Amino acid sequence: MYSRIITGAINGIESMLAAVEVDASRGMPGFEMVGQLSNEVREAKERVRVALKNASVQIPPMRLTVSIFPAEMRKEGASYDLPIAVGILVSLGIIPEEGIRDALILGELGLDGEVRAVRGVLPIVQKAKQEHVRRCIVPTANVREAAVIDDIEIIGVSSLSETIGYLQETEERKPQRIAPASHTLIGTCDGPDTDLDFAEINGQETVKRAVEVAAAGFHHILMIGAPGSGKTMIAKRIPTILPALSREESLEVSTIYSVAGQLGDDRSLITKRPFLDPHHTISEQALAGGGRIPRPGVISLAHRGVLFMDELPEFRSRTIEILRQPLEDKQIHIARTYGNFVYPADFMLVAAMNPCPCGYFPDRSRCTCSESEVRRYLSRISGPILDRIDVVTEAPRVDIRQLSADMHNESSARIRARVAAARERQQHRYRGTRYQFNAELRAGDIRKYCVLGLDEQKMVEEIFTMMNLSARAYHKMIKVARTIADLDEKDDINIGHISEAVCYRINDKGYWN
Amino acid sequence: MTEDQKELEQKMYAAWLDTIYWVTSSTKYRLLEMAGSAQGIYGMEEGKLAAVMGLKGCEHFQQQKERYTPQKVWRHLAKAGICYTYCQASDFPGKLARIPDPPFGIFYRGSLPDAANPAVAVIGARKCSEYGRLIAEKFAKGFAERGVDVISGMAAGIDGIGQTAALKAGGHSYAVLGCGVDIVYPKSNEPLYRQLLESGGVLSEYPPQMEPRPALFPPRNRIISALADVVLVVEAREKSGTLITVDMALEQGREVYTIPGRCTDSLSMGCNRLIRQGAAVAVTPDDIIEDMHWDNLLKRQKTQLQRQSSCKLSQTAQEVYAVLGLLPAAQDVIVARLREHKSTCTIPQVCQGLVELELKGLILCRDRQYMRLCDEM
Repeated sequence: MYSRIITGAINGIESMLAAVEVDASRGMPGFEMVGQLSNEVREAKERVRVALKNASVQIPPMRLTVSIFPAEMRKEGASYDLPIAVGILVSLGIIPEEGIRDALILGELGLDGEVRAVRGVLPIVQKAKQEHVRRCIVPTANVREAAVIDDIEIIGVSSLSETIGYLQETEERKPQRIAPASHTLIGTCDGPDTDLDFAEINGQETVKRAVEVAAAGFHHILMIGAPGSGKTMIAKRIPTILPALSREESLEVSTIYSVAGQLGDDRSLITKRPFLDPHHTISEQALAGGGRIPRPGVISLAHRGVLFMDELPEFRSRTIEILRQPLEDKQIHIARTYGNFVYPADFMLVAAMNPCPCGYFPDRSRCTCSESEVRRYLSRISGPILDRIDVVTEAPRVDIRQLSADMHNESSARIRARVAAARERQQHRYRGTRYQFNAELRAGDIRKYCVLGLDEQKMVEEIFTMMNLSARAYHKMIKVARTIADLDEKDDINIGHISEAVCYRINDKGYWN
Repeated sequence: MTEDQKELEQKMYAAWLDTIYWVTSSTKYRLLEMAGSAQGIYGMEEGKLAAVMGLKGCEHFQQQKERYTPQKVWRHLAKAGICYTYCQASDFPGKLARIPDPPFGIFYRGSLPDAANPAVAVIGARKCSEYGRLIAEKFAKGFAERGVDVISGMAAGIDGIGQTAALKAGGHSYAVLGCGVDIVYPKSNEPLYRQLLESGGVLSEYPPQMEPRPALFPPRNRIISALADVVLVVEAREKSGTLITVDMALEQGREVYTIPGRCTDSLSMGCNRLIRQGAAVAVTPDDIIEDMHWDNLLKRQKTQLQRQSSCKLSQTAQEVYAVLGLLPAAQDVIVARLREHKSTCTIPQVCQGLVELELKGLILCRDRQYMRLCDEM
């Protein structure tokens, strides 16, 4: 007899529906599997055979042929175990055919019949809903993740025998395992509930302000400062001033985490802005996404969140250069033998560095570095990367009086409210365009969206000649001024906004040009 | 043969002798005394040579003779655009001849300093502070505008900064190197080197192609001080190579001036110690010019040093300016100082003040640090 089970497959972060076909016929007893299978899928044969035996299912000596289609796509992963086992049972008549109608099955099998968690459940269930599948049978460990999707029945199973029992029941008597997407279960998408807060940071007012500006316009930011000046502390608190993830964003981010196998029992949906701080020894593959079928790299996991690169010059220069394309296109293209993969990578880059190898430049009485050492250190960050960073700020050492003072600093929540308001203004302005934030503005559109009055125009010209700015630096300055005006709830950019933007430039006269 | 041709001939032989770098200048002077002329040294008997240079030295001398002829050496120099003069030549700088242990000869590119012009050596630490940079620029510019030559060593830090500023202000500057004149050291001063060839010169007592070595630098310092009338120490640590130049200057009877610094700054320690030992203090370039009675120069440029701006400033700009000093401070430090003074400026206002001051040319921003350009308004 022939049976067909719907299941899902992941290719890059694209999900698609696949089907497992099983045919049991008389002939020389055997077990054949076809359909461009990778080793782990091929090994399913043994896992399924033993698991069925341990679930006390007697398999008669028949010729079993398993085919997984679409045949032209290479299948990877262990999520086909459960559909294959169920397919065999249906084709042998042990499970009635009605049991599997309109159901999608996913899961890895242990030899004892246990159903284990698999990767990519969220996007597959999402796809299943689009294709009008009624019910999804997923490993219990993945239930929370799958239940995020509304209007589709999710059944969690923890063993093969439980699955068989469930599928053998008639429709009326089937227990409902999970109510359709109850928000109590998946957690709400409220703001970040971390215990970090900007109120804990004394001093560094300039840096805090620069961070606020950067967050409001989604500008990439570079903090330069002596060791121990609080750069890392500030960076870790940036997610707390970013507006909460919308439900769409949350699903988008969760999909990436699901494919990366990072959603589990404890978290079903990513509701907080991701914050990733890779160590500077990170490899290019780990950053961009690696593997034969690449898994999402750190830059994709930071999608819609913050990628914090501490000690930027310590990263290998080739690793830093990888960021060029994602910073421009908000996604990364990876080409492999099995095809081209595109992963989203729309993150806010927050970089921190010392001003020189010893960290005290330009305080010459403490800095022991020679001019050429300073220059060499700074030159580890290439021009193209610097070009993509709009806001640069200096974090000097905080003095002890400031540290010990009991200051009433602004809380993250208040800053977040301002950032959210500024972002709303931007969304309103860029409705119907490809832009979301000021940072994305291209040179041609700057004139359209950042209109300057006569006085402002005159001042910009004065600054331009006096400070010897490049055209690119000029555009960056205007974009940042636009964001500052948004924070100030003004439609027009005024002299104050431009002045502040000037203070965030990379100084063209210093060591860095 | 005219006088000129005779001198050229003698120069050729002297240059040949000077390419033997291991013969000290005092030995060369003794040889010259014995032989009477450079050509005479070339033709000296081995016995007499050995008496001055020792047997081994004499042997090297003969080898050099076989390897190169004076004519060949001269052709090489001409090809590389390098000129040469020596103690008996008419164009040898008089200032150099009248010091203890004078150099035998000088290789140079560009020109030699004009003996009629007063000259100041602006010297100081290689790793200088922003303060040192500012002062070196200010003084060198002041000297250049009044027609005073700036002599220095083209090193990183104060030396190079001073010379660059002098050239930028349209003055003349001369660098004495611790290596061959065709070698640019440090490499980062390549642009300065080119400018020096155009409006000034690059000098060295070492033969071309000689690589820089630590031992070569202290002797060249005596040439720097010798060429100058005044030695100005801008910044020096307590143990600094700059102080060698000061010792040489005192030995040669040159005036030594220093820029005072705060007694806590390690980079001003050397200067302050010099002051304690009796060195003169210079606060403006005019101090030196007045003391040295180069009064005719002073009159020439007096009008130019008018204060640049006494324009109106906004309230915030005034507040910001009040907390800025001559020492560089990061923006956040400025904000912290304002808070201490109970100012209610917001960060955007501080930024506006800073940019206003910078555009008016009252403050300088470098490496994201701000400082005053001059102390009075």
